[in-house]
Amino acid sequence: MRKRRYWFKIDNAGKVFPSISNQERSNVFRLSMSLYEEVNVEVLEQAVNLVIPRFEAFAVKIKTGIFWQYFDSNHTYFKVEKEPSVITQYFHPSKNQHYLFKVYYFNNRITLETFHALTDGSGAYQFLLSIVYEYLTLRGHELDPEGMILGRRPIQPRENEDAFVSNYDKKSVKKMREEHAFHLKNEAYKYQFSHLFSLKFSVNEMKQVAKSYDATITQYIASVVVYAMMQESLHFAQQKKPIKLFIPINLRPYFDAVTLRNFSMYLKTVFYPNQSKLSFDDIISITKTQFKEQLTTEQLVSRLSGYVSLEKVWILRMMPFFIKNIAFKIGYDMLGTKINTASFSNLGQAKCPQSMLPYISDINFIIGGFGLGISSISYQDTLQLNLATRLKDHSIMKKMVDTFHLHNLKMRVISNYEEAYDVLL
Amino acid sequence: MSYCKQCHLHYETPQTKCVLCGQPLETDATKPTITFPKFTKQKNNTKIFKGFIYLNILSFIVLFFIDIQNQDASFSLIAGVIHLYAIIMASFVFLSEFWTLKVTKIMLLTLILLLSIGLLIRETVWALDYVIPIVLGVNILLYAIVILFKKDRDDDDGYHVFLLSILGIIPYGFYLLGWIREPLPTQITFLVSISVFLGLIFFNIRAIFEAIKRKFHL
Repeated sequence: MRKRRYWFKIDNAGKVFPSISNQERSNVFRLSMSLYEEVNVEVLEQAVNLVIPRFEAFAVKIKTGIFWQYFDSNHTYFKVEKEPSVITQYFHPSKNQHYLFKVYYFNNRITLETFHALTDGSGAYQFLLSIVYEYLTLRGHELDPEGMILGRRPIQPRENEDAFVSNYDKKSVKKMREEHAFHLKNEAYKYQFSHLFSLKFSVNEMKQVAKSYDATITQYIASVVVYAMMQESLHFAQQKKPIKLFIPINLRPYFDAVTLRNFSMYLKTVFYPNQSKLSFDDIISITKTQFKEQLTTEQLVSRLSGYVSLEKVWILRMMPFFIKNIAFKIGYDMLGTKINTASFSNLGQAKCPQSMLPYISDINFIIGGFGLGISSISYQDTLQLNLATRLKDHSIMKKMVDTFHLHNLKMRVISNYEEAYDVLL
Repeated sequence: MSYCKQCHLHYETPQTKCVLCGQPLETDATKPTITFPKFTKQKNNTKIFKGFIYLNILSFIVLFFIDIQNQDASFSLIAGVIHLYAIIMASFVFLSEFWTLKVTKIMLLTLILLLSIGLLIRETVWALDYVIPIVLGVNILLYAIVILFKKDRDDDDGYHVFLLSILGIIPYGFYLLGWIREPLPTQITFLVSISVFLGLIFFNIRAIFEAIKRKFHL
């Protein structure tokens, strides 16, 4: 049953994001669906406002309490906007009717950009799918939800649970110590411009190549990324820090959770400078081993409990929020930005009802990141691999393309950079 | 669709040169299927804000050095407080929140400014007898009237007025301690505060209790 008044504690993964986010580190990710028809703005706005009240986890504004920030119910009318030229850019909720997500339109594309404090890719996908379903229905198309549209199903209280806390096990707490990682360094584009370079593959072809290495698509792409970084980062072998690729894992299937809020956790592939001469075959073999070691329920519970235990430290709990806020900012600057080289998020196969397929031409998922934000999603037989970066150097992208060619993968390219953009250089 | 012979890539977006190697692309008659909005520079208020902070600090340093030469730092201390006030005020204005909260913050900040100036120029009567009760009283009364008639009332408004009304009772404590020589503003503020406080408890106690639970994460 819909409630008029509700509030949530920010989940464990999201707690730190409001404090550390700014123009430089937006912590915003993008999901978009392209239609075969031009988007009608009025109908889209109507659809969004029909869907929002069903998704309590999204219909919130952020407020500051004495000890922590929290999400409070938000019933303000939502306004959709024209897509800006900079992807995944930071926005202040107060300039967005206090909502923590944006819905954009551009030609035939509907885009949802979400602040990571709110949810992760899987939660945001459910929300966008419901918006597009409602939009198409309002446009007069006869669709069948086929049980896949959350917006057409009754609210379950478990959708709003903090699954980190629900699955916390005090006995399995693992102490986490992260060493500093190698960083990609180069001159950045001006005005927070993020260059999007997307590669489109056939899912089947990609599967076959991954299978030839006895690996999953995620393991294969992660290995290509690491290989390209090792080959193209000239100073990597001369220093001590490892390449650390963080790969968010959707924890819902492991813990039987249906939450719409954040419930993913990084696993990582780590390669030290003394491994810089490894071949691609060696890298993929090590990647598979590292996945196997970390992807066990015991390991996940232990790390998840480790994260939750941090917020249970009494001195931190009793600290007023304004002090925590400063501590988060300083702590993240000192440690948070230094523990990974890049992130690769694979949302997997985008599922939607058969009746929607004739209207959706393309689904995409993009994460930002100062160094390199790598993300992928598959829709029908197309896998889209997105490389988003603020750095002007494209050598890693080039090396990745060369590696894919070497593995006989055919690809098409999308880029948001144009020659006329000298102002960004 | 355009094609880069060197990188063997087909572009679905309207590039004329390859993004990776910079070579001109071979183009055919088909139109690009995917486009992005043209890049446009956006306004950057941060620079204006940073410039404002810089000018305030500069102005304080100049005044401080003039004061040192005159061997009396009292003027620059007052100026320093005003500069600090200006910076915090600007941050309240630029970093917009819920407008009622913003106005309250501005008024409380102004109260601290006037109080600091009063104490710096050793005018305690002015600060305690007039500034504190009048600013608090006006703020409580205005906020209470606003939430009474506000259509899109925020759920925390009641909680904020509740806290303000408790704050408004404090000057009466000063009066009971004999620190206040001119009691009228303090008495009026006390009456306003206690009326609002009781009114909120009488009509809105559940909402306030809920707000306290949220604020303390209970």
